[in-house]
Formats: sequence, C-alpha cells, structure tokens
Amino acid sequence: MLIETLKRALLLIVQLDPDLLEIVFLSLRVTCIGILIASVLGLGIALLLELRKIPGRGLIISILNTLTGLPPVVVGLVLYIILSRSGPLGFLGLLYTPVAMVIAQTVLATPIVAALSHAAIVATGQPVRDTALGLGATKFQALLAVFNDARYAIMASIAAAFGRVMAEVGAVLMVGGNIAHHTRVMTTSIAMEADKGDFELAIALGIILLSLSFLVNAALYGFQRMGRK
Amino acid sequence: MIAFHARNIQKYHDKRLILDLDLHFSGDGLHVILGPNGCGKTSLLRLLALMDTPDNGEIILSENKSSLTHNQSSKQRIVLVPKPEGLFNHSVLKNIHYGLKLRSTPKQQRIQRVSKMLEAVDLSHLKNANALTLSSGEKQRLCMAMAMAVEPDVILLDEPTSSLDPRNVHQIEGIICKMKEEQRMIILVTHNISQARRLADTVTFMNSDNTVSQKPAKEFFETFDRDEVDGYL
Repeated sequence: MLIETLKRALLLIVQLDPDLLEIVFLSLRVTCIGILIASVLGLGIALLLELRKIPGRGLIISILNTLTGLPPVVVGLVLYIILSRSGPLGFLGLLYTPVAMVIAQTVLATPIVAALSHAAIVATGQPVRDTALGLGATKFQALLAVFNDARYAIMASIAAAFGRVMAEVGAVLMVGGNIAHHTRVMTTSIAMEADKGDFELAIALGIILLSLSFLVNAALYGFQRMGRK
Repeated sequence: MIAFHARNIQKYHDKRLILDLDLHFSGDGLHVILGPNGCGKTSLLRLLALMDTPDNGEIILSENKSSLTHNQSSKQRIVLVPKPEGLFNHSVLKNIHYGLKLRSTPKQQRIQRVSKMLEAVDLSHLKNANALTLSSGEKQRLCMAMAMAVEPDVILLDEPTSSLDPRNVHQIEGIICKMKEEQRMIILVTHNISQARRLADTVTFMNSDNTVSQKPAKEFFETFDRDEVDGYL
C-alpha cells in the first residue's frame, strides 16, 4: 500500500501534475519574494548596527537574536490580528492573500538574516576593517570591505533563512488560509492532504520540499566552506 | 616629506590612559619605536595613520613647514601595513589591487603596479591563490606588497616579523630596506633589538610611564643603558 502510494506520488512529479506545479511555484514565489525583502531589511539592519554606534546596540542585538527563534504561529496570530478586517491594517484587504504570506515570511526571515550576518561581520570584521582603513579607505568603504569579506557567511545566513521559512507552516496557514489556487503552498497542502487521507499529493509535495531543503542545505554548506578558513 | 608632531596626545581605552606623550617624526629613513607591551605603540601607529583620533591633544601633519589638513587625501599618503589576519578573503591579486582601487588608479597602471609588487615580494607564482591559504611568511609579504603598491609617503609597520622564522624575517627586512631606498618615511614598531640595530635611523623608546626618548639610532645604542632596555624587552 505504501509502495503503491509512493509510486503514484512519484508519477505526479514525473508527469508534472498541474496542481502540484501550481502549489510548488506559489510556494517558491512567496518564499523568494519574502527572502528578497528580508535580505534587504536584514542586511540594512546589520549595516546600521555596524555603521553607527546606536544607543542600546547590545539590547537591539539581543532582541534580534531572540527574534530568530520566533514561533511561526505567534507571527501568524499577530499578523492575523493586524490584517483582519477589524485590525489596524484591515482596510488593505490583505488577509488570505499571497501578500500576507510574503509579509509573514519576511517577518520570520529578517531577524535571521540580520542576526547571522551581523554575527559573521563581527567575527572577522575588525582586522579587515583595519586593513581597509590603514590603506586609506573611508569608514564607509571599510564597512563595505567588511561586508564583501563576509559575503559567503551572509549568503549562508540568507540560505538558512530560506530553509526555515520555506518549511514553515503555522504563519502562512493563519494569514494565507490555504485557499486552493490562491494561497495553497506546499506545507499547508501537505498538512491538509494528510488530514484528508490523500497521501499521494502530500508525499509528492514532501519529496519536492525535502529536495529543495537538501539543495538549500548543500548551498549553505558550500557557502560556509567558502567562508573564512 | 610629511612630518608628524604628536602634541600632548592622550588616548584612553575603557577609561584607562594608554598614551600620553609628545613626540615628533620627520625626514625620510626608518624610525623604530621600541617599548614594552602595553605602552601604547600600536595605538600611536593608529593615531599617526589617522585611523583614530586622540582624546586630547592633536596630531599635526606638515609638509615643507606648512600644515596639512587631516583630509582623505592626506590620509591616503600614510599607510599602515595590514596585519596578516586582516587579509581579504580574495585572491592575492585582488588584495594588492584594493588600495589602488581606493585611489582610482587607472586599470592599466594598476595591473603594472601589482605585477611589479608581486615580483618584489616573490609571490608571482601565487597571484591567483586565496590570500587566506598562504603561509605566515607569504601572508606578511603580501601585506607589505599591499602597502607598497599605493606608493605612500609614509609607511607604518607594526611588528611585521613577530611570528616569522629567520628566513622570512630576512626576506621582510630585505623588503623594508628596499622601501628605505625609495626615500620614504618608515615607522617600525618592533620588540626585536637586533632588528632595530640593523635597520633604524632613529629610535623612539616609549616607557610604560609615558616617558619617551627619541634619538638617532647610533646615539641611542651607544648611550642607552643595556640593562634597562633588556629589562623592558
């Protein structure tokens, strides 16, 4: 029975089942856009923390580190309250749309990118910054040199954030609603199909999710190896 | 030629006074700074490189008796030789190109200068290697090349041979001698008395109590109490 289901699941993948592809592409679209925004915001935060001696810098870093472990359902709940019709941003009508899912994933990924990138910069930053300053760079040019030097660690932080939010189910389910052909993504679909007892699609999506996760982790490993020896 | 006057400068680290002195560097040649650990030699180099500012007092830069402002163009004429741990995670070539790019040196000129530097420090065969994979001696030679490539008026060196074997020390000292021939001002911090004897034109001895003596090298080594120097170093 299990073998038979597995065969049918693989067939769905091989035959490029349209429903399956729609779910996979929406997942990738939501996650990629979320990660893109989170990367800009996260690197911006890391840059600000290094560029200026902000008061309470230590506290901000501690808060960022805490936020890397944000429970997705809590993010989902908070965003649900904010985006629901009676919430402060209810008038935007974003609840149960892919945009709300992108917002949820951005909220989850930004602290990861910011905290891990900042940690990488702090770890190797000072000697590299001194090299740049000693050779005549301005403070800003020296900071860019530090970011450039930490590029592999930064890419690793983005890959780690990508892996986390792609596999996340709680937040996207709460603000996306798992609506067929609209907000149904891999994780929410797997949960629902398994509930229904329809394991073919669930397993097919599981295999794809696992493969993507493997690729992300391989990239992460590669970036870490290419980083500072 | 740039001259430095560090006028009554004070520098604190975590509210602890680490530097409080008044001294002068002028003229080409090699000026060695000696002194025990913690007397503020590295902090002084950073102040002279205009990377830090003193908490009190000022660093006065002058050239032909007229003063120079602490702007980016003055800053780029003074180079602190990088430490091996501060090399960029890039190829040897890119590391040497960095300082030249900061100065917007035209590409053709940059390529020629970098190739000349690679030969001068005997790293041509490693030009495409990642700088972080080099041996300690090769890293230090690369650091020298990065500084020399930009042809600064003043080169500041902070213990460039501290962790090297005798062969590499000899090689680095050879490179420093070549720099001297180019009539630059070189300020070298070292703990190695015999190295100071071999290379120095003047010696600045910094004590932990912030007293300083500056003398021509010959006079310093003739008059300074050997036991006192040994006691510190």
